[in-house]
Amino acid sequence: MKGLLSRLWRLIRAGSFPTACALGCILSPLRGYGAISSLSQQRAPSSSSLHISVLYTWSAILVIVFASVVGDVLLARAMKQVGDVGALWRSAGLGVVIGRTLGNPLFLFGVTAMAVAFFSLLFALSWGDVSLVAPAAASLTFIGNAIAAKIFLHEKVDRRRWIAASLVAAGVALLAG
Amino acid sequence: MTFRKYLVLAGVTVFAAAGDSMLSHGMKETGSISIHHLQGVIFAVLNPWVAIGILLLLAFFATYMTALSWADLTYVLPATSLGYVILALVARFLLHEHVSPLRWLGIALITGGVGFIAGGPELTAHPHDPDAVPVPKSIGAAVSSGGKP
Repeated sequence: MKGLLSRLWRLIRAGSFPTACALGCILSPLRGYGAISSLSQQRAPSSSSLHISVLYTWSAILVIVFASVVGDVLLARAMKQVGDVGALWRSAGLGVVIGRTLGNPLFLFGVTAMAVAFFSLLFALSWGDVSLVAPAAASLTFIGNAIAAKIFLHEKVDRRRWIAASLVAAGVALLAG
Repeated sequence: MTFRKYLVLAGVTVFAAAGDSMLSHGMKETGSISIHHLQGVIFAVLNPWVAIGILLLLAFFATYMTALSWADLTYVLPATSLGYVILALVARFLLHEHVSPLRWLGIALITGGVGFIAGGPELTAHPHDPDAVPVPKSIGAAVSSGGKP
């Protein structure tokens, strides 16, 4: 009986982190959209604290970009370790694919970094201008990902990919602004 | 790139765009949620738009992870950025909203970027990567051909 209980406890403890991550992932968009829709109505920056708020906004944008680049790189690395999902599914089944993905520590760290990026986006939107934060964070993430993928994932970022990343970053900045 | 892989990339694009827009539509119906009234989240989830939006975003995450398992990050991100274009086109032609010239320029830039990436290889070849867990081709081939040698 005691052995069964301790085994159950270990199972719960092992499962609590992924569960918390999954819950955070599902709940964070909800809170984000609520905050964005409410903030767009009550935005009125005072001119005296303008310099401080510009500084805060840009440091928050840097935190968002850093966290989401870290998250993307970790997730990409984790999925390369898991292997080709389609081939693995056909040869070993869907359960093995899900088990290998959720059991990968890099995957869990990547999801955590994504959650950090999301919540810092929320904080940035609470003191910054939505029309600056959203496009700046989105387009700088594309550039940051290209640099990080070249350094940490050893991807061959040739001229074609640099041009693509810059064009998309510029386009996203125009569309989201 | 097989047809199946293009289908996964299209899934990433469409699920992200549709999930985001359904979620924001639903959140506008339910109103804002504050840190002090977290029970509002439960009412928000009961909204059908929000529920469908969450399901679509989960589908987005699954297809995004699938794409990252066989393609470079610097390939997947630009290739799936067409979602921004889809959102703008939906706003223009389904919701009849005004799309400014600057936004049309943004659409053109993103489309051009996707065109640049589409012609190249999707995965950098790493001959001796200690990280990569190679999936034995023979097993996959044997299963898909019904186990015949």
